[in-house]
Parts: sequence; C-alpha cells; structure tokens
Amino acid sequence: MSASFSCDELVFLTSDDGDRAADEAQGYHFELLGDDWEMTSAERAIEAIQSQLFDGEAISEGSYGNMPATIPVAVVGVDSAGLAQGSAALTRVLRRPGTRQFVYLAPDGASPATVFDALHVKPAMQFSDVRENQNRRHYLLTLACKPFPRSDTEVSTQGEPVAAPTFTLVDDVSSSSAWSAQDPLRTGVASRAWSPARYNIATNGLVSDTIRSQGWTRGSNTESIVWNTQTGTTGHITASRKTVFETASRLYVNSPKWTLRGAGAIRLRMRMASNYNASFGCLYRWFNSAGNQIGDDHTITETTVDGDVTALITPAAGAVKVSIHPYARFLDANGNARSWALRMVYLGPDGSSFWGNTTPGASTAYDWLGTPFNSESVELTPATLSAGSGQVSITGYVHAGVELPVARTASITPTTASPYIVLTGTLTSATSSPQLALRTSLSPNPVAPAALTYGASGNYKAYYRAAAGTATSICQSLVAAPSAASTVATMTVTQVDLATSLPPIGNGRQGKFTLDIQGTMPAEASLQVANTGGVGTNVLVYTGPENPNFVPALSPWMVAAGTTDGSSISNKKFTVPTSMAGTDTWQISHVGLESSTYALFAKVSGSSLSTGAAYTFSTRQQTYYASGTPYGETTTSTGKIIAAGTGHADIAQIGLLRLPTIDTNHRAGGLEGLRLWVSGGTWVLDEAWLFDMVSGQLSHIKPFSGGYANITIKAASPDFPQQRFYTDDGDGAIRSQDGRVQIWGNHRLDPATGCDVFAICDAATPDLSVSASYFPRWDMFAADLADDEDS
Amino acid sequence: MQAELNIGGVWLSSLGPWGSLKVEDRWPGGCYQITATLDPKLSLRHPAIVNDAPVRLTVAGDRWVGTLYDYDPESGEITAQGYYRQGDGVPALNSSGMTTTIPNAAIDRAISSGWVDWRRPTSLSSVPYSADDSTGDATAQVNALGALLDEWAAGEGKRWGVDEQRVVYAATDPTAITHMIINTTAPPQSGQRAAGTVVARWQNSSGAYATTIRGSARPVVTVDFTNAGPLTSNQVTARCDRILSASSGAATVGGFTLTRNQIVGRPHLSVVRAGQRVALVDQATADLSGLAPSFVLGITVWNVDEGTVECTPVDAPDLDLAAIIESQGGVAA
Repeated sequence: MSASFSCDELVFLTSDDGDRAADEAQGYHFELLGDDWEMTSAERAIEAIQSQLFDGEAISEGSYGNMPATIPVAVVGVDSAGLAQGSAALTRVLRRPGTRQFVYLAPDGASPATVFDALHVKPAMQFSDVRENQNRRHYLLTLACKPFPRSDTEVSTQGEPVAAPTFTLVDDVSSSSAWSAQDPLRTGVASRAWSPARYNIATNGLVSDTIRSQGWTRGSNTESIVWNTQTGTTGHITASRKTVFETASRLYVNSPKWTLRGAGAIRLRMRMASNYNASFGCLYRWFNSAGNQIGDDHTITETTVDGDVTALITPAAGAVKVSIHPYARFLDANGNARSWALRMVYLGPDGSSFWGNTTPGASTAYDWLGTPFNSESVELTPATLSAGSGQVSITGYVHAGVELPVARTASITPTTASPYIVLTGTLTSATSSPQLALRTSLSPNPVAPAALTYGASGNYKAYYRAAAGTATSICQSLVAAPSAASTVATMTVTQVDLATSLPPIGNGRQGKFTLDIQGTMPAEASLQVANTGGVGTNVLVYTGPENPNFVPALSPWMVAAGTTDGSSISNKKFTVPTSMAGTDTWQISHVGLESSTYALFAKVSGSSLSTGAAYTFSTRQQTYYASGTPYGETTTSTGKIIAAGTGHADIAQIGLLRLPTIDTNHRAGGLEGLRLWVSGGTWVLDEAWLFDMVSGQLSHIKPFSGGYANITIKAASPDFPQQRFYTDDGDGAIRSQDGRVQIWGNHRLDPATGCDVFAICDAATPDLSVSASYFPRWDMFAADLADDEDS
Repeated sequence: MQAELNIGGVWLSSLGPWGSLKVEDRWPGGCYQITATLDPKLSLRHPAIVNDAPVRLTVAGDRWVGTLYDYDPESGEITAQGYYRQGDGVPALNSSGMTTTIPNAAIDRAISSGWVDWRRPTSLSSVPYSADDSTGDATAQVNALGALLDEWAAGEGKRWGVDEQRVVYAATDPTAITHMIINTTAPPQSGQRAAGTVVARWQNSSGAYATTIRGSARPVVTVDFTNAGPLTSNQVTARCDRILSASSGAATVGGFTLTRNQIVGRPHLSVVRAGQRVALVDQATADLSGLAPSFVLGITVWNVDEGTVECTPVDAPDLDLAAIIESQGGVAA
C-alpha cells in the first residue's frame, strides 16, 4: 500500500494500488503521481530589527502564513469517454465552494488521517499528446491550505475544574514532635521566631544611621567632625585635627542629650577606630529635668585600642538625660594630622549583647520600630513553640526582616496529581492582611500562597504549589505586610494536607479551568460555558496560556477590608474610596504574574451619581520586593465610566496596566500592590480581573435571557468559516445576535503553552463548567490522539 | 488580544475574513481614523453597515470609536472617522441660536442638536474665548465648532480631542513619559534652533497694541498677531510658547515606526497612541544638548497586520518656522 489523498468522492491512489474493478465500471480512476510532490510547513513571519545595542538582529515571531502544497495527480480513463468523465468529475469537485478538505493517509495506514483544509485549489492540466493516446491526463494541483493540517476527529475535553480540591491528610498535629519555631533550612535572625523582650532605655539609642541630624558636635581639640557614609557599612563620625598636638591631648566629639527611659543602669557601648596608635574613652554627664548637669563629669577609661568601649553606668539621682563625649588620646606625636572614627554608640539595658551591624547571637536580636530619627529599638529573645490539642502555636514578633516561622521536620511528598501543600490554622486579628510564605527543603526560595482563603476569626487555609518530590522539611512564615507597623502575632497550625487543586474563587460564579490540548499547533476551539440553572446575563470567557500560579480574578489577592456578599461573584463587596487609601486594595504575588499589558476589568455598581458625569477610576501600582519593602517608583493609570443615570452597574474596563511595575523575575517575595480609588459617587466593587492583552483572548456575552443553560463559542469550521456565539435555551442552540456580544474574542488553544480558561458568569445558582471541542492541528501530519478523549 | 471591529452593532469577524486594519489617533484629535478591508469576494451589503453607522474597535475594552465614513462593497474597503472630525463645519451656536465663543455652550448646542455624538461630562471653558462675545451675537459670521476649539485650546496652551468614550476633552501635553523607546534609528530632527526668543505684537479687545516677549535664547523672531483678532496676554503667551517648543531645535520633525520589541516592557501595541510622551532612550537630541529626547506623539498609526505603530511627533509637519508661526495664527514679521 502507498500513500493516498482524497477529496470528497475523489480518491487519489498511487498507480499500483487500489481495486480497479469499480473504476472500470465508472470508466475512470485517479492516480497520485510520485514526482513533484511539494508540501511545506507554513512559514512564520518574523520581524528582524538591527539592534543598536547588540550585535545581530533582534527577531520577533509573528503569525503564520498559509501552507502551500502542489500535488501531481492523473486521471486515467478506460477510454477517452471515461477520461473526459474523469476530468469533469475532478473539476466539479475541486470547484466546490468553501474549504476543500484533502485527507491524507500514510502508506502503511498506521498513523491517523491528516486533513488539509484547502482555501484555494488550482488544478493545472498538463497536456501531453502521448498521454492523451494512453487516455491519461496529468494535473498539477496547487493548494493554498490553512496553516496547520488537522486530525480528522474532533476532540472534546472537559475543562479540569480548578474547583473542589481533594485533600490528603499529612499531619493532624496530634503530636508536636516534628514542629519547631526555627527553620532548619536557614540560619541567623531570619531562621527563627522571636518574642520582644525589652526596649531601649534611651530613645535613639543606636546611632548608626541617624547620627548626623541628632546634634553631634565637635568637642575639645577637634577641628572638624564629618559624617561619612562611604567607608562604613552604616556610616560613622570621623573626628579630626589637622595640626600636630600634644601626645596626651584628647580629641572629643559631643553627643546630644539622650532621654532616659528609667532610673536603671545603662549599658553604654561604643565602637571606635583609628589609623594611629590611639586609645579611647568616653566622658559622660547626667542632666536633671531643668537641663542642668548633675555632679561632675564621669569617665570611662580606655579599654582596647581600635576597639570597643563598654561600661555599665548608673544614672545620678534625678537624672532624666545623659550626654556622652567619646574621645581618643594619641600615644605618640609623629607630626601627622590625627583622626579617629566613631562607628557606633549604643545605650541599652544591661545584659544585651547587640553590636549594631554585627551578626546577632543565637539568643538575642534587635529590631527597629517607628521611623528614622524618631525611633526606638527593641530587644528580641527567641520565641518558643507551644503545643496544644491538635495544634501547634507560636506567638512572636513580626516586622520588616523579622518573620514568624513555624517549621515541620518530617517528610511530605507532593505529587503531580496533588501538587498543593495546604496548611490550615488560625492567625491573630492583628494580621488583617497576612503575608504568608512557604519554604521547603526542595525549594529554598519562599513561595507565596497560590491561594489563601482567610475566613472569619482568623482562620486561614494557605495553598502552596510545590514540585513533585519528597521534602524533608517545610517552614511557613508570617511575613510583615508592606509598610506595616511591627506587631506581635500568633500563628497556629492545626493541619497539613496535600490538595489536588486550588479552592473555588468566590461564590462559584467564576473559575479557572485547565484544558489539555492535543496536537502541536494552535487550534480554533469551540468553548462551552455551562451552568445548569442558567448562565445569567453576563458571561465572560477568557483564554490564555496555562499558568498554575495566576488567576485573573483579583479577589484572592484582596487585602483591603470588604464585606461578605453571597450574591456577588467574588463573595465580597468593597466600597471604592474616593481618594487614594494609604494601604493597598490588592497585593498580587509576582510568582505567576507574567510581564505584560493587562486590561483591568471590574464589576462595579455606582449610586448617588450625576447622570452623564465621568467617574475616573485610578489605579496606583507599586512593586514590593522582599519582605514587603516598596521598590522603585509608583505609576497610576486611569479609566473612566460615564454614568448612564444616577445608578450605574456594569462590567467595564477601568484601566490598562503594565505589570509588574518592576520585574522581579517572578520572585517569591515580590508583590504588586494596587490601590484603587474613584473620583466621586458611591461605587461598590464586586470583583476585578486582570486580563493579559498580549497572550489572552476575552469574550463578553450578554445572553438574551439569564435562564439559558450554556453559552457556546463555536469555532470556525469548514462549513462556516466564522466563529459564532450560541446560547442554548434547552431545546437547542440559538445563535446570539451580535448586539449580545459585548466583546468579541477569537479563541484558540495552543498546545505549546497549554490553555487556561477563566469563565465568569452572574448565574443565580452557580455550578459553572467549561468544555471545549476542537480538531487538533499539526505542523504537517497528524499523530494518534489520546484515546479517552476521542469523541 | 486581537482588535475586533464592530460597525453598527455587527462584528466584522461574524461576517467574513477581514484585515489590513490601521488605527489612527491624533493629538489634537483623539480617535481619528480607521481603515480596514473586508473580504471583497463577499461583496457584502448589510443593513447595519451604512454610512455614519457607529464604529467601535475593541481590544478587550473599547479602544477607538467613530462613525463609518465609507464602505465599498466591491473592494471591501472600510474607512471610519473618529468623532473628533464631527466638529468640522458644525456651527458654534449657543442654545438660543446666537453665535458664541464659549466652548461649553457651543459644544452643548452641537450635542443637543445631534450635530455631534460627543459627551461632555467635564467643563472645557464657560468663558467666552473672544472678548467681544460678551454682547452676544456680535458677528454676522458663524464660527465652526472645531475651529473655535482649536483657537481656544491654542490660547490655553492645550489641545483638544474626543476619546474612545466619545468624551470631548482638552488637556496640556503630558510631561510624564509613557513609553521608553529603544533600538530606533534616529528620526529626522531639525537640529537647528529656528527661534530662541519670540517677540509678538498683538492687539487686545479695545484695539490697543501690546508686545509679548517669550524665551531668552537666540535667534530672535518677531511675530505679528495683529491680524489674529483681539487677543489676551495669556493667549499670546501660549501661542508664543508653542512656537518656541516647535522650533527649539531639539524637536523631532520626522516620523518613525515602532514594533513591540522597541518599547521597554513590550506592551500591547494598542496602548501606544497620540497624546502620549515617549522618550528615545538610546538617542541624543538633535541639537546635541542632551540624551534621550522625549516628545509628545501627534499622529500614531497602528498597523495591526504588520505589528507596527507609525509615530509622528506633535507639530512635526511644521518643518519651517513660517509654517509653525502660521499654525499659531501669526505672521512672521
């Protein structure tokens, strides 16, 4: 057997094939000639730009052109009458309007049929006197086909609902033996939980960053003091004298007066350095509430050269302030200018061992509270884990750079079927916008929750996507929210599970469905969004590349306070403020946020509006880097809604955003903070979505009635070359009027990127599902399809 | 997301193959023109596709709106014009039918009479542009609405347009940069400063002459506004400043074509539009006074098939000084 082509009733076989008996009856048959076959894959348009920045050209890939093919065939007649009949049959078929489908079968018949959709066929007869004598005519068929040939079977696939995860219990925390307050994967401050112990007794006790504006002045023998940020890691004061002076003279700097927190003894510490052979010391004075010095000056004698000065000093009776006067005394005179540097001053409670930017010990750390120049420091001691009935709990301090971790050292094995590690527990109310992160021994980089459901009374369920494999330990951390004040929080873990998928978003009126796409090339697909009790009056269908770490809906990322609303799409209602709030409306993890242009859509409902007035929605965007630190500049985009009346409810585009503001390369700690406000009126936000404009497609249909059971976006087919929108009223599909299609999107499924369908409806009783049917498309020849999905 | 065209409520994608879409925006102007081609084999005649039918272009949300200007079923060629262009030839009358130079009054009358499909949610100006307007119906001649808004905007140092929500608005040129452009070959730039100081002579509403001097650099150019009708000091200042910026020598006078890859962040090309400020980050200004010249786009033509945007800076067609001065209503003295 050899290869064959067929087009409707025409069957082209190679000359040595086939049952010719039937052909004799009709007087002719067709042959496929072996020579001059040409079939070429569709060419892709590329845009090449001579780059001015680099050698070579920058190439961007565009769309594909059509697939050309030339196929030589022959008509063979039993006689010239049969030949004429055959020629006529060939022309008749090839002249049929619309797409002509050429079906290719491989020589051995093992591989499935491939269909070439020819948009244009040119049958060029190649006349030959010799062949006419043999009752043969040769034609060269020149085909212009759709870019990608397809399988001849349509595949139907049910969108894998991202709803309804199945849980596998890993740990019910009936025993706390595996749990600790310290991450075994890390070291230093960040590795463990801390409890606040004591505060500094003097405000602004640590001088490392703030020395210049605190009123430090030059003292005796010192000609100048300089604030130098260049040579120290945190800056320091350099005191200098340019002229030679006596060996025993002291070179002083004067501190401002520090307010004491109480009457207890103070640990005074300084670090000093000199390039010369010098010794150091410090003079200090006590002041009463009237600002007068109490008693004489006190002196701490020098201890070590180029080193630390430390002493426990007890305030004089009635003292409310203290000033200190560090000095250096040079031990010899060699005629050079003198200088020394004050690296650090610390006034703190006795027993602490903190030396500024040195690494804290395992048992004590310090953290800063408040704002620069007006701050206090707090001493931290390790927090301990408390185990209760079926839970572990830890209370500790959360601030920028100080996390509250809870670690479990026991194996956990996420699989491709159950890729989500789910931790359940409670968080104290102090953390209204918790920032959680998970580290595993498989992935040292923290992962933000792919979904975080956060119920009343501080219950949380955090879903972290993990790679398949066995992790020997996991550690969940509560991280400080961006710009948040420090706080003491309690985090409890009651259960650890593995889950098959993410939880449904909101009230089930929206969902992400992942489609398994066969073939090798993009295929037009028919997409059906169904809801048993009717899809409602607004249906949005968004298709985009598969991205397990992103959902277009923003309610999972909402950090602003809203109220619960069971009739909404998001299960939340949020009144949009009329000026920019000091905190974010949403914070979106950078993990799944592709760098792109996004259309920000929102379902909003306005009241107390003036008819015809423009209401401007502003969205400020700001990237946060690790631990919630604001990074880079902010930008604000606007979009507006013109009020149709005093009330206005709509799903509308309210902005175009380029996200992320700063590309952190999908950094786990990276966040995109969005703040939404509106110029006036009362606007209540139900849900907002980010639709990727570069790689996604969006359709918005407003069915004639909310009771239709489904919306189908029918793909272009050979019978009808345009995509169409149908609704089903229960008796069958009814084509939607164009006016019911608010936004028209051409949807294709690309096996190279996979496909996520995000469907949204406002059905009264939601049970949303998504399915797709399509002909898999191939670069050239079709391969076998997965059996279970053949229709 | 693809661009989709809706004419008279009908999606072109529901009718047949179409393409060759070009979307033109202007500043001033906003939505300006769209051309596209519907498969000519269809020879399609459709009851909704008639001249003056509303046209929407969506890329997710609405990107461009206007009305159908021309559709030729034989060639399939479609031309739509933006709502901005409805201002041409519309008379500037107030609600009582008297001539007016109050922008708001003239716009509102045109809207209520159905002459333009605009919306005016915010005020442009409720002050008569011309001082002799206060008596009402002062001139026999009727101004055109578009011309009035051009004149008024020039006097305010603004430009005006109609956006994709049919909203008529006026704004100053933005100072913030929206797009950073890389890998361009240098667009034609003027290089030479044509005017460093403008000395303008003009008349106020009582006929008194006055001189306004703007700028301090050489060369000094004298401009005669005395034939431009009665003006105010602010109006003259705005016009002089427009002349200075257009002839500064750092101005880019030619156009250039961009692909997505040439814009930092690789945005969807539909977001590049006239009225935005762009910076050519790897170029120097033509007068060599600085790097990364930035300018406001005056014309953008998004060629959807090619994936390019042809950009022309604002005021760019005015290559010579005389034309620049003329565009501001003056005469080079």
